[in-house]
Amino acid sequence: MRSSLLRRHLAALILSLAAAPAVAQFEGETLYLFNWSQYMDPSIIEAFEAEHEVEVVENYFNSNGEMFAKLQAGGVSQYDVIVPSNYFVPRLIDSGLVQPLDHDKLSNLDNLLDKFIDPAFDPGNRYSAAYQWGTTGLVYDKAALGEVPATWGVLFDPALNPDQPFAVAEDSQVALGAACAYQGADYDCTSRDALEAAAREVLAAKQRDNFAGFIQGTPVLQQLVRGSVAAGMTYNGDYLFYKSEDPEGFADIEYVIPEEGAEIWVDNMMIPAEAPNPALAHAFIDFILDAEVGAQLSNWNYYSSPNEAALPMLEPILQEPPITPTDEEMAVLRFIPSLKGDDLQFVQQLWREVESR
Amino acid sequence: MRGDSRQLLLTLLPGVGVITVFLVLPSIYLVGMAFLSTGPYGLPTGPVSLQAFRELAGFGFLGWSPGNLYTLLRSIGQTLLATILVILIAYPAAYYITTRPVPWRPVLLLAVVVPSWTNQVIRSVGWMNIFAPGTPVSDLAAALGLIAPEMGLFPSRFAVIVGLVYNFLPFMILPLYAAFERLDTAQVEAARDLYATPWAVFRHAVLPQTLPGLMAGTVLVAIPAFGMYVVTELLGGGRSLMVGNFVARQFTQAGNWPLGAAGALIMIVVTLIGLKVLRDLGRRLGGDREVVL
Repeated sequence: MRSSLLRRHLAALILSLAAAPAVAQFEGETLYLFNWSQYMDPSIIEAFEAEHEVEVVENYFNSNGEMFAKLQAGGVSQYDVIVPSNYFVPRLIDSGLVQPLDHDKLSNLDNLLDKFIDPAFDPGNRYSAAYQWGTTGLVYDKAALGEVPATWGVLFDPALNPDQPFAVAEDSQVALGAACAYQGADYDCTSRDALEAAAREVLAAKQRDNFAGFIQGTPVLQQLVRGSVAAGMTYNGDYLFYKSEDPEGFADIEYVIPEEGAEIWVDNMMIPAEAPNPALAHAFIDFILDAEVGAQLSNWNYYSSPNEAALPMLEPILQEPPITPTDEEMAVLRFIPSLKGDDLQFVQQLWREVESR
Repeated sequence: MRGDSRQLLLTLLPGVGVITVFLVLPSIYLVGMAFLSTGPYGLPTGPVSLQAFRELAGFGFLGWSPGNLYTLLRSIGQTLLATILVILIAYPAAYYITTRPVPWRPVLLLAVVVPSWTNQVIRSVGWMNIFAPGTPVSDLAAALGLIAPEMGLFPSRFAVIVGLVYNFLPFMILPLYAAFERLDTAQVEAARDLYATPWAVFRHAVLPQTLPGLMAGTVLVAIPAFGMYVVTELLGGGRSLMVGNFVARQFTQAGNWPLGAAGALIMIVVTLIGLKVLRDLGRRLGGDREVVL
């Protein structure tokens, strides 16, 4: 263990020495990174700052919608790198908020796994490069609910959970996807009938006495530990991260991929259309795509790496469920569809109905 | 004379400038946005349309729905309830502080104000911890049969009202305290000497004198409470959505900026109507004196 660590550090040292002559290019410049909170290893930032003699300023967002609104309200010229989820990538491209990547400056782009090269939401990786990926599944407290099957019914079926408080995801498409899957359609349902039925399902859940609110994936974990909810929806990496910080509190808290299907997502690095320093942004993206750095990132934030070259360096706990789903689980995982125009407004109207009642 | 008016103009300029830049221009922007169409990703775009107001009125892909109306009525209801509770708590509290010895009064007032130096979010999270299942307060409520034993007092409408009352209490106590400080006790004593009932003493001697404080406090409490975002978001558990949350959603999660702008516009209109109602009420209670604005 120790020797491999030493070797890794040596390798990093040699790497940074080898890279040294090329650095002066950005000396004294600043990179503005707009990322999800708790998603970046501070020592990676320090390494990048040291390698290029630059400063990195980090700003955080809590939802894709918030990030999109900030970009629209002037952020498009304030940030160099943003990290949106897959279903927001087409929105950003179509709205003219991001610029194409210069592949000549991204020598490490080939490190990505096949399934993250040329994704459907950004053909040819013209605008985006994968950062981390993960799943959104069901999380519950075994001590409160007992042994329950891996199904969204833990949230939607009063028979499975008659009286324990439960929460549903706050993001409309994430919550409706789970309800769609529960009703037998796929998680990525888009037909209006299926979506309407899903909205009714969520509304019925909301009107039960033990509904505890629409709560995002990260705060719901804290509420599970505190006991104010017994079931909810969360992300696999956050679950494992908090579990490793507090093994006792999480002893009875389980994360599962429901058999009806769940969400797989990938967050992507993109450069806003009017980024102050696109050259440095490319250098940063290439730095993250490096195999060593990619492994270090996953080993820190406990999400899956899209970086094939990094996989052998991941800690064993990341190479098994819930971080690396089984083949059966992979078969039912779906990306949230990118919607626009009337389809998007339809979902949002449905969700407004659910929220307002 | 000319020098005077030039000086007046110069001293007014900064204030007018601030109001123009930070109030008038954004309001014009907001009104303009409310009358635009919604683009493919929810951003405002041409042409001019009433689409946002149609949606706000409840017309959508599935026909008419009262959802937004519920949100508006809920906001008004929760604001009224919270304001009345604040008044009921603040009246005796302000009176009590005025009756303490002079050196004690600043200390007590400080005790009222100090909690509001902490961020609203942190105080709301504090209530989350106090009302979570398994806490003494929640256990007591469960033992009394008010809630199911598995559920806490948080999240609930009850928690939202507590959060609102707690948040805005200082804004009512301070103006009421100022009013009580100036209270002419001779009038109260005279009323008592004339065998007025306690209620009559309050109604005819105390209330008219403290009315300006009460009205100022009501404005300071009701308007921000009506636009409240944080408390309902954190303590409501998705059941207490208010107009403020609705507007915020349209600019972030939901992404429908014209609808959000239209919602904000309605919020301003309802607030102005509320002020008018308050003004008429103040005039009636205060015997045709202007007590509000």
